[in-house]
Amino acid sequence: MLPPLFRLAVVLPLLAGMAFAGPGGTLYESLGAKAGVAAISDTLIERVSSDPVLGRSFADTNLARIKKLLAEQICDLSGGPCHYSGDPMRQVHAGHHITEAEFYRMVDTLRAILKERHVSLSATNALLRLLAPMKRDVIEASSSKVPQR
Amino acid sequence: MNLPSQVRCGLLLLCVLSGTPAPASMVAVTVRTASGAAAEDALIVFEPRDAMPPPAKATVAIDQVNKRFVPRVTILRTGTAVTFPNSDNIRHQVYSFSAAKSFDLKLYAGSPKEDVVFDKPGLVILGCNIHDTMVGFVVVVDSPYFGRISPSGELALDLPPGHYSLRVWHPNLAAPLLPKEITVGAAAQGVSLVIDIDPKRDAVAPWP
Repeated sequence: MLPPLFRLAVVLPLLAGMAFAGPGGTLYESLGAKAGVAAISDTLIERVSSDPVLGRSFADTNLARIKKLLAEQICDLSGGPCHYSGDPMRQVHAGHHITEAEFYRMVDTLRAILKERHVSLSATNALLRLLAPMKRDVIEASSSKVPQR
Repeated sequence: MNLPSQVRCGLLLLCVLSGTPAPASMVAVTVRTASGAAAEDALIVFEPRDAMPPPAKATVAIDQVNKRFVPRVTILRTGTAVTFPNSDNIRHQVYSFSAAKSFDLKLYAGSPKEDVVFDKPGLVILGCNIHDTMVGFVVVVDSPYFGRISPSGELALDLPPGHYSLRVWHPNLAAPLLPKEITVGAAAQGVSLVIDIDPKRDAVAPWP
């Protein structure tokens, strides 16, 4: 069973995902559905893993795996036909000592990619709203021991 | 060498009663590469050609430190339980697809570790789903007489007298080697082996 706070972090984005109604239907469709979400994930991971600041957290990692799981997660969050099969964000980021500045640098990178892909501002904001609750798991997990499920 | 002294006695009861330790002779093995360098990470095993000593329970650890398996190369006996601690504070996901033992283990920093029992002889290649560059090797053997060659290229074992086949393995072995027949008597002896290692070899050398 997930701890209550984590459950909240899961439920809130789900609600937000359903609340979005763009011209193309669901947020998932506004992001370009399967191909669009895959391209967003691939590009984001390519950029952050080669970024002078963010790259350190991706050293020696299997980027193909991260791309696949991130695409799955975005698909899941945005109302697409996927189920995120990766680990909770807290465990994923534990020990990497991610700073708030790094978190926002990744958000900015994502925002730029969405703009390049002509994703609407409302869809962009909807996606960022879904990801925002992860901030506390991504950052705080770095300085404390990882709780077990 | 943690060999029970009774193991080599033909009449077990007699040995226990008399309290006579089984005789064992030191065999010092040196393994060098063709260029004369110490063959660090080479593994050796003496397979008894007579009777195999009975199985014994053991536990060994293969740690993960700075995104590396430590040790990188492990040799152990069939039935040994391996614990995979995680000394890194990031998570790892250790797996093997090898026929001798396949498993998938999620390891979080500070989490309880479940042991993996290596119950079949053979070569097991370890990887980490999260970190591409992590590669480790486990050779599982039936014999209790084995070890990893030291950084200076040596390993000494105490062996009961008898006939053995000595096998050597290294992940980058250029070509498989035939086992060397060794007879252990009452006196200590030295064995020198030269192996051909190709560090650029992509495929892992087969075992045995």
